[in-house]
Amino acid sequence: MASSPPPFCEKAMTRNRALRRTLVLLGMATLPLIVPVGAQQFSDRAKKIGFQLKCMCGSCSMTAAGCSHPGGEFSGPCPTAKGMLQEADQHVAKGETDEQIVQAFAQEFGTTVYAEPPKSGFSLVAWAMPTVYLVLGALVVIFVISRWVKKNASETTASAVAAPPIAPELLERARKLAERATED
Amino acid sequence: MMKVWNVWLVFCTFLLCMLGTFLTRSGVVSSVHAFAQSNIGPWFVAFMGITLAVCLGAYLKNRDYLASENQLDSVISRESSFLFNNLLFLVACVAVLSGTLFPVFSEWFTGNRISVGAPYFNRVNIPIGLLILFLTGVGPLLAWRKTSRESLKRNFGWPVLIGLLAGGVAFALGFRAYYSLASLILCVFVAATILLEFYRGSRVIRARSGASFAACAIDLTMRNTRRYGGYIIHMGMVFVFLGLAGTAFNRDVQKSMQVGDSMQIGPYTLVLQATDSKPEKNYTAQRMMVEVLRGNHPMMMLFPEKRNFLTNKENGTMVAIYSTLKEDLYVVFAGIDPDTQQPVIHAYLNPLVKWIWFGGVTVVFGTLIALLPNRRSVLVLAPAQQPSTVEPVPHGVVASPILREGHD
Repeated sequence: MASSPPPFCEKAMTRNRALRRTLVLLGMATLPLIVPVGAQQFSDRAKKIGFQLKCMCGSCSMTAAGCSHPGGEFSGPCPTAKGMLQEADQHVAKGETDEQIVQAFAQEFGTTVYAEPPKSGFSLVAWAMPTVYLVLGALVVIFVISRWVKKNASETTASAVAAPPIAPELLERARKLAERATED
Repeated sequence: MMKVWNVWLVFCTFLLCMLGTFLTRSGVVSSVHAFAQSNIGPWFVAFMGITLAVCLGAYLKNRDYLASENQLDSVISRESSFLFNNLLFLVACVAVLSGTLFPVFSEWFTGNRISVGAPYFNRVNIPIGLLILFLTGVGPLLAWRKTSRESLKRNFGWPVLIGLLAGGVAFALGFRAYYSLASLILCVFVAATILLEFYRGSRVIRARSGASFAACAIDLTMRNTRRYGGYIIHMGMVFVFLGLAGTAFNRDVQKSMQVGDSMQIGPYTLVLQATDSKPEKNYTAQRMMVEVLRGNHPMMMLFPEKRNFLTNKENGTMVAIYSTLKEDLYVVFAGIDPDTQQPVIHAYLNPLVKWIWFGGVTVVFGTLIALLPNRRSVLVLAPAQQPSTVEPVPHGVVASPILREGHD
């Protein structure tokens, strides 16, 4: 036989339910007051283009789609970047290509809007530099190493001529000892 | 060896620290850390000039002490791997420096300031990072001065095979992000070389002592703490790279939700169960109660919230996090949708993040091991045991010492 809950418990549950409902209603009612900056959803294409554009708020160097600088909202772009994404969405709605949209932003804000230098004109220097450093550095390292190897080879030959020859059995013994030592 | 090189690396590191501070503080490049309208620039330049002069002076004064014999038997040697490793770090450093200064250069040459942001630095440094990871595995297994072909085969045969096998399996499973795939192959390769080193050393000790592999590995590490501590540090870097490889699979979903609505991200279903307001001393928090389900099984409640600070009228966002070794789930209350007036929940699923933290802890642990002194075998004198059946030694005769192995 199922026993009915005691009156105290029932009262407490009713009070909890009422409290929860009040809290939810209070929460929903105060939401617009507490979070004045509205969150907005943008299309995937606008976000993709946003990663090619720098946030032009002036206080950060993040991309429009990845902007999360202090003062902005952690979960999304700051108001400036949001405006840029909204603008990107307007261009998308007009049927423009990604390149055209980025160019439109470059005309509006200048070349500072690029998140990465374009692969044309003077900007190509920025892309070429790391490869140039690597190739030049590798050439220098290879040159230095081969000079050390040559120097060592010539010194070894000179000392071999000067020094008396080592007995083959002694050499073999030394080799075995070295092998055993390096094995450990 | 390479003393002059090392000394100049130290000098350059300090000078570049100063340059970096100057660039951000003086406003030469745009930075949130720039001082507003200050005359600190000339002071910095003067200080850097003095520092450079002191470095040059110190070098010239000690030039004779820094002279060292640089000799190598072969290009394939540990010394060469050091040089190539230095080269890669330097290229990464100079690439970041020139990228940072590129807007200034472009303004000088063309009159237009072309900005360089994070995507450029990522694109340039990822291949360099992968090359450094490769050398992390190769370098320690090369012999000093010269490495024979047999030694190369013996040390690298299995690790290369295991790495490629892991890459093949990952590719077959649909892993297509090529940088992440390369990172995975290299991580497995480096981990295999390190584990093989521990295995070989432990096996030799085990053959003598008969102790367990774990005990032998600890003994091995304590005998040469710098070498094996270094391997542990390398393993830490493998974990970090593994975590970084996961970023290719980051995803996020944003949805305007009302109580009872759900959204899907990866294997998780997020259900907005309720919202409430939580007044605190200096802020009011708006809290979302989000239930996380995997399949149809409830896993936990997450409580992302936004805080409105009453005095300065600013908002703070508190992210709710569920973190596992496989992935991190971040749930954020992003704000209110202006069209629907409903709360917007932004969820991020970032794989393998914890491995980056774990890698950092491993690096610290390896460093601590490397700082310990080596446990070396030493010869100590101990008096011989007197056999009970032997007659007592006459007075005045000292027991003969025998040699015993011990540790300092």
